[in-house]
Amino acid sequence: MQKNKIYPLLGLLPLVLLITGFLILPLINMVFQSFQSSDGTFGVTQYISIFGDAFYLQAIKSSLTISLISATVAIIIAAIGGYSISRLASRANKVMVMITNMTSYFEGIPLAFSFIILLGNNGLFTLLFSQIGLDVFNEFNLYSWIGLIVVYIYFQIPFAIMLLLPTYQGLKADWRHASNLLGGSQFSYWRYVGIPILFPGIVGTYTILFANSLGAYATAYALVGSTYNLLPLQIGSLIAGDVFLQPNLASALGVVLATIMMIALWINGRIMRKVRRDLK
Amino acid sequence: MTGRFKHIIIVSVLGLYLLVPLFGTLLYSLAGEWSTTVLPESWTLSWYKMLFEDVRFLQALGRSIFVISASVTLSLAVMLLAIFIMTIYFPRREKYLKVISMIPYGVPGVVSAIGLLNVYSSSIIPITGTPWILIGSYAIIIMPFVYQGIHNSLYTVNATELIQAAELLGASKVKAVITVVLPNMMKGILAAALLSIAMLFGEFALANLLVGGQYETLQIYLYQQFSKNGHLTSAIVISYYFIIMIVTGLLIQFQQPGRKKKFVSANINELLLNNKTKQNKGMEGDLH
Amino acid sequence: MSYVNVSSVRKKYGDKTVLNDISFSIKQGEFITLLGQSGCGKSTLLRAIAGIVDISDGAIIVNDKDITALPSRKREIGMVFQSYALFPNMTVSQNISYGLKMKKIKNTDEVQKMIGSMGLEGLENNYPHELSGGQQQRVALARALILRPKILLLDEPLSALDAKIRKSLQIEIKRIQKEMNITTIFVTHDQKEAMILSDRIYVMNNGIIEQSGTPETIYTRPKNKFVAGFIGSYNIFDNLEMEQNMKEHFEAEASHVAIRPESIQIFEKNAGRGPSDGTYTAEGEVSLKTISGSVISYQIQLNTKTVQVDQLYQGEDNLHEGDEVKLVIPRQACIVLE
Repeated sequence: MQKNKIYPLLGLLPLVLLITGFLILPLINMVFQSFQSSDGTFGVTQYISIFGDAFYLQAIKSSLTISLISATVAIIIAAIGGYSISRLASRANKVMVMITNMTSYFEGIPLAFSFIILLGNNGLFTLLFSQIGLDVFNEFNLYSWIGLIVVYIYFQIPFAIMLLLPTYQGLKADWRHASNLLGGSQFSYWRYVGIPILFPGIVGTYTILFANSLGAYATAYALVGSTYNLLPLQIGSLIAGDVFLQPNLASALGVVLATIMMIALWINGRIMRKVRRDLK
Repeated sequence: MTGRFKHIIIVSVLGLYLLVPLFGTLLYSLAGEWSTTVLPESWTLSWYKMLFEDVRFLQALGRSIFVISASVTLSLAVMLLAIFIMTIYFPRREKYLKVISMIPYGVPGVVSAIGLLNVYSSSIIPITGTPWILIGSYAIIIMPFVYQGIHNSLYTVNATELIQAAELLGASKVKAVITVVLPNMMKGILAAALLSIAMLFGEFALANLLVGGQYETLQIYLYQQFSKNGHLTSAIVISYYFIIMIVTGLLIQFQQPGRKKKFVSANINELLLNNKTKQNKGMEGDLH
Repeated sequence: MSYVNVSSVRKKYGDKTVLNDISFSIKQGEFITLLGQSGCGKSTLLRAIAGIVDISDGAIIVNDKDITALPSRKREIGMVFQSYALFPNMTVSQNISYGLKMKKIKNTDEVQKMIGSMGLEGLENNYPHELSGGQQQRVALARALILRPKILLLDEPLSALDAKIRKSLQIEIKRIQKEMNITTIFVTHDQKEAMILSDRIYVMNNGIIEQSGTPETIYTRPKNKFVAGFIGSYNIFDNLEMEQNMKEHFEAEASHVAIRPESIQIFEKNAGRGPSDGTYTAEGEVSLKTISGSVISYQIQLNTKTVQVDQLYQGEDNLHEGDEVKLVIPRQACIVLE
């Protein structure tokens, strides 16, 4: 190494320390702990107990289900809504972008509370609908998995729109004109040009949404506490407070959650490669 | 024309849907008597008065502001230093910085809390339950956004050329960065800071799991009040929404046109980065 | 027999009239150019013919068929966009065969032939972003031509390319157009390009056609001040300026005259040429001399006006900046403008 490059390297030290201390070391430690049994011997006992326990399997399953459903509904609404936003005149477009931008930060405890006010047992809409004699919310329980899905979908939509808007802005009007001039209908434009071009953005956003709700903790914690069986909630309850109950089991569950996320990203990449060879 | 009408309807419904929780909460925070009727029976500002006279709330707000400003400053300072050094001395290795700073994006709060507790509750540095562990971990979770923000504004102001020009005029590298590049990047840095602030104000998982009641931030305070007094809670929630509104409003002011576009799409791209590089290699392989 | 007939086309955006009562007709196989500065309405007119923008008034008739109300996909018109608008998710051959696919025609021979005649062999499976500007241009042209459209529209297709590729593509476009005998409307702001390519030129300004004619007519007989100013580097004099700068009395026929720089003869002041019949003469000083290729341009400061004089470079030139000179202008070289 040249001498004059040694001093600059010192400038990287703060970043290296920060990342090591608060990211790399904790992650490595978690993986390491997950391979230790409670008495300190090395092995996969924690994983055996997770995959042998119907309770934890159910936590994984409900986490996956809730993430898949909320991400799917949200991406559909966001894809349609985002397109409409991108077609608006510039002033209305600006206002809408501001609203979506702002609401994309509404999540966690405050959002859970807002939904309790709207849809809880004495919520605004619950009362409104029962007064006009519509019993739509009689069966509805905000503090159940369906309630969770409703709130998850809400916070995913503005987030997804913010991610999709740039993709929509990348759709050139001339492509539609060219397709039309070459005899293509509205449908064939979308079928052969529009959707294929949007597809990577949509799949990428979908993956982010999926990962986002898979790891979401605050909203569920506020709405259902530890009573509903979700992976993040179970991890939370294993490490909550200062009493560290089962660090090894929690670590193994953490590794499982992280692995699911990596698999989602990997599948995402596979799909990309299949569909769009032109991406650089 | 009917097409445009359709878009207006869709957007209006969407906008309404997105704003309903905000208005519902606002209504509730201003309501006096309200139990069985659809709209409140009386109106009052007393919940806000009560809230802003509550020392515990003001302290929690103060703690949040402290933790957030400390972590944003830390993250920005450390990242600025690193990015400058990489661009000036190791430009071809800058991409590694990118990959590293994107990792936190894929690690949810609950997961990073496990490792952080493992490391810091029993070790030589027992900082669990103190603001310091929060500051460190917050500086990490905003890192992808801080990196992207700084990187993009370096790119927009064409930093390499600016530095070369300043050097030709006799400035040292350090001087060039301080006098020419940094002033031009202020907008971008501010935008990254605001984005991080908006994110961190809503952060609950790490706050709850790492420190909980031992260092009560705004979100923890909110959760403590959650089941006690609904009206008071709604006043807190509205205050929180208000903060977000101001921060995101400022954010739009500071984002130069086109900035957001690159910013967000860059994030998607980062997530796909690994796969894409592999894919490119694969394609080259096919050609030979 | 006119093949394309554009009659009384108007286009308004709110209060702003972008196309004001445009009418013209084109013969089968003709290459015409809409020439004008940006914002003159030329691209809007092209897009109106393509059916991309609706017109407020008027009609567009192709081959005796009124296509004004037809959607663009039924117009049988090919177009090359300024940005090329190649579909980024499709390979070269997928882009080119897109039109056939829309018509549910499977004709790989045709596609292959097109690829061959455009010199795109070997690039069939490349994506647009892997191509150079010139190659993208050829793909865009091939894609527009494969359906044998009735009219080919070219919207400043060469403006993004560098000078060398531009020249070779100009020649190629002209060649293909002749070979296929395809009626072509070309839009550009570059008058040289227009001269090289066109059978006829329409000079547009402010939503109207200022003048139309063959390149030669447009160049040698500009109708008004705008055309004269836009084409070449005409020296434009008003009556007063002629009176002030020319030695001879000037008979005013109209408000302005235009004089081409190369029609002016230039001599040293003391050269023994006196005024003769049928010429105007003027005296002045060389204020600037520039050489571009085979042409020397002098800026001559006269009494109240600076004029440009172009001369073919002859190897020996005795004039320098600061020299006193005499200009001789044949009367028939003074073009009277409307």
